Amino acid sequence: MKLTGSNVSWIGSTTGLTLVVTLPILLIVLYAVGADGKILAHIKETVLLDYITNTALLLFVVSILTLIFGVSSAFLVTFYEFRFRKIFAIGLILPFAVPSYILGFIYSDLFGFFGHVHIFLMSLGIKSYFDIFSFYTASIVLALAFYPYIYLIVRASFLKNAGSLINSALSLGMSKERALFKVVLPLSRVAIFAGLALVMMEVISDYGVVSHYGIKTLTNAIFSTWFNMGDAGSAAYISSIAMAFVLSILLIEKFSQGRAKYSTESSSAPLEKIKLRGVKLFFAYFFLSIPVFFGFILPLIWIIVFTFAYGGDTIDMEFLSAVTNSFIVASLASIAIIVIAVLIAYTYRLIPNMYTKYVTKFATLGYSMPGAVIGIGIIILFGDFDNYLIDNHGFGELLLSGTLFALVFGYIVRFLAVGLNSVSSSFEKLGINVNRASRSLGSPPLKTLFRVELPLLRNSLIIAYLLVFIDIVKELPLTLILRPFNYETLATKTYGLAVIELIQESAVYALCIILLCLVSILFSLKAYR
Amino acid sequence: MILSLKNISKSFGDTKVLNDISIEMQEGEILTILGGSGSGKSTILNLIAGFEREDNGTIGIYGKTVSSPSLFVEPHKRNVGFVFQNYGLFPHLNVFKNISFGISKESKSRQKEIVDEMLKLTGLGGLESRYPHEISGGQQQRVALARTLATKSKLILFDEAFSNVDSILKSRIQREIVSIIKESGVSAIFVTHDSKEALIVSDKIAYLEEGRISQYSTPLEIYNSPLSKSVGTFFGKANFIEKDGKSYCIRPEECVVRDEGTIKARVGSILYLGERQEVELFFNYEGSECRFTVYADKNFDMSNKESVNFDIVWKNCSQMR
Repeated sequence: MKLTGSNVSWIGSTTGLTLVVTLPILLIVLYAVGADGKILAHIKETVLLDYITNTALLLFVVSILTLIFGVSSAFLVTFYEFRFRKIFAIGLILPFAVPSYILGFIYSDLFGFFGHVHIFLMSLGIKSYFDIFSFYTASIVLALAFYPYIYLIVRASFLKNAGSLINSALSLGMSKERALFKVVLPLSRVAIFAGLALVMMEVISDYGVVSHYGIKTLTNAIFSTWFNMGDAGSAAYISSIAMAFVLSILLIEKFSQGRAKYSTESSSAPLEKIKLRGVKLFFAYFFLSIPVFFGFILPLIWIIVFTFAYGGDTIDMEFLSAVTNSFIVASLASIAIIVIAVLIAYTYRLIPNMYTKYVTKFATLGYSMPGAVIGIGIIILFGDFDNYLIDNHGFGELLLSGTLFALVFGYIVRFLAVGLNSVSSSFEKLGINVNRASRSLGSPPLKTLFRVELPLLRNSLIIAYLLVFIDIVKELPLTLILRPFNYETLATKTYGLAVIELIQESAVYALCIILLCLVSILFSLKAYR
Repeated sequence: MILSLKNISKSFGDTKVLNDISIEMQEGEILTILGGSGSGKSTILNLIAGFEREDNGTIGIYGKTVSSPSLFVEPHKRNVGFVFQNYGLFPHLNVFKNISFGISKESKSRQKEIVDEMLKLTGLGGLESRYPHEISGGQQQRVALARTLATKSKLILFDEAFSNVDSILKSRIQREIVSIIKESGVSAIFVTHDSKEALIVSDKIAYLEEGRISQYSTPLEIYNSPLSKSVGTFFGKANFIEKDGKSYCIRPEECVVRDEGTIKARVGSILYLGERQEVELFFNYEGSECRFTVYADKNFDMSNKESVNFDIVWKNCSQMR
């Protein structure tokens, strides 16, 4: 492609920004290759294999559970008719509003040795040997938190493809139930894998649940290597293994699509749902209630009860400062993300070629990476930068490390994709003609952006901002690694109280996060329609 | 000369969309670029406006080179008007602000003056405070035109500008737009796949085929003397015949069916169209089998006729390339 005046500056700044936001991830690889030393040797010899097997095992079990919950619930609410079906269809999404770590804390409080359930049983004279802090309970907690990914994507694919497919299968003499299993389900393979990939990335990224339940996964190991041993090189080494996990999942997902691009163009033909009755209906209710009740209703009740019980004591200066901190840091990062996303998406809009397409893709790399990995990447990046300043330019102290800037930067790296996807699709919906019309009427690209595109995108940008903002507020691992000393946000405070066994006191913090998440779901659903 | 394209080529990936295109346009001319879907006709407009860049060749507008291998003038500096298929009006601005969009550097009073003039020219008076979604399609199109005329651009490009208009309104809107264009003395390029539209609006027609211009002439010429079979069939019913080793395109109007005649033909299907009859004829000419569509007078008795005679008015028929 030939470059011209303003093209150079658009492509240049987009390339530059993309490099900056992917640098921490690239550095991890560099450091991992160069990492050695006693600590790493020791880790490799003793526990590394455990970390890997634990992670793999956890991925496996959570995948099975989320597939069971996600696919079958999507199947039931799409193809069968029963009372309250629509309520279930929405309700099944709601567990998304409860971040996995909050769910984990709540269940440990409810079912732990000193938990309400156990104490109640003991008062009845029943002795229970159930141990909540096990691998399997952690898996169930994670599955409850993440199955909506599969539910949402698979349901969307069902709705899109099934109607016309079932009709043609019926016309070929297949029975409806047979058509569902022989035609519709296999065709949803791509969607199922896509949802599963997201679940797996979340599982790899999770820190709150695995640390609370004592499961030594790679993410957990990154934390302990960094916080207990302060060894960035080893942390980078473990991070690179976590990255390898993520990349293989992405590759498998890509591979599973293969040539089978099953997006049939036929818009959804009307779908005659099968009526459920009797025992089947009872089982459907029972089955669908499990994820909704345990993933959303029970946690919400718990949170409300303890917000009222302890609200008076816990709503104090600490709470207010956590709210303000969350608000400030998430606002700063969200604004930065929207600005960068607009710039990158607009560059692709002006110059849509292979190069800008891949740069845009590359800029979203951070989203698939675990928060802890990005955290370590930024610690390395800023550490090197600060040391360089100290060594060469006579700086007396660390300039960037451990600052709010580092935290904001971390959020940008991790959540740029959320903003970018949202902004790109709004640009696409707007169509290119208004842009071209403005430029042909004499407004240069930047002026066009401000005079035409941004005013037209205002509402979409506000929604994109909110989605990013909420994702940031609930992010735990990245915040824990990068926050300045003693800097508490809603997420870290929830976690911090849980760590010192004051889980019930964290209810009011959790309530704030969950309310925000509900707002996010509401907006996503609207955009989705 | 208002526009010159010299040896323009453009590929998307492996597909060569435009192959060595050259066009010259005089001031005040209306040119229509015609071609099937995917023939690259819209690409030509995008290249002229500067939305895309050609791989080879040069483009000159108002006598100045705007694009060549070593030079590229960006769209906002070309002063070329563009009317899009869906008009591309700014939905967040009212009619007045849409029209004044390109003249924001002028003083407020001058802007008002120009916009008023444009409203009058395009017959949009009284609509200036409406928003695009509050006016009809035809009005939107005139706003799109007024907006480019306001900037004093002397060249306006119309990309499938009439394809969203329903067919009853179409010819009226076409006449309106053409008269506005003629009145303001600008040059225009229309891109369309509609041959009727091309014949109605243009001074010149360029027929695009496989990335090349296969014919560039006036509507009359292109109808009467098509240079290729595809041009011939594109603009109306056409018959093809070999005479003395040369190919000719014969329009049905140039065949005279009567009782006496030089060519005897077997009658195929007959369509009674009211004002005339459309007759399918089979015959042998200079040793090759021919199939013609011809018109017979509405009163000519075709019933029970297995064969008829007809003549070709050769002097009105053109030899093809």
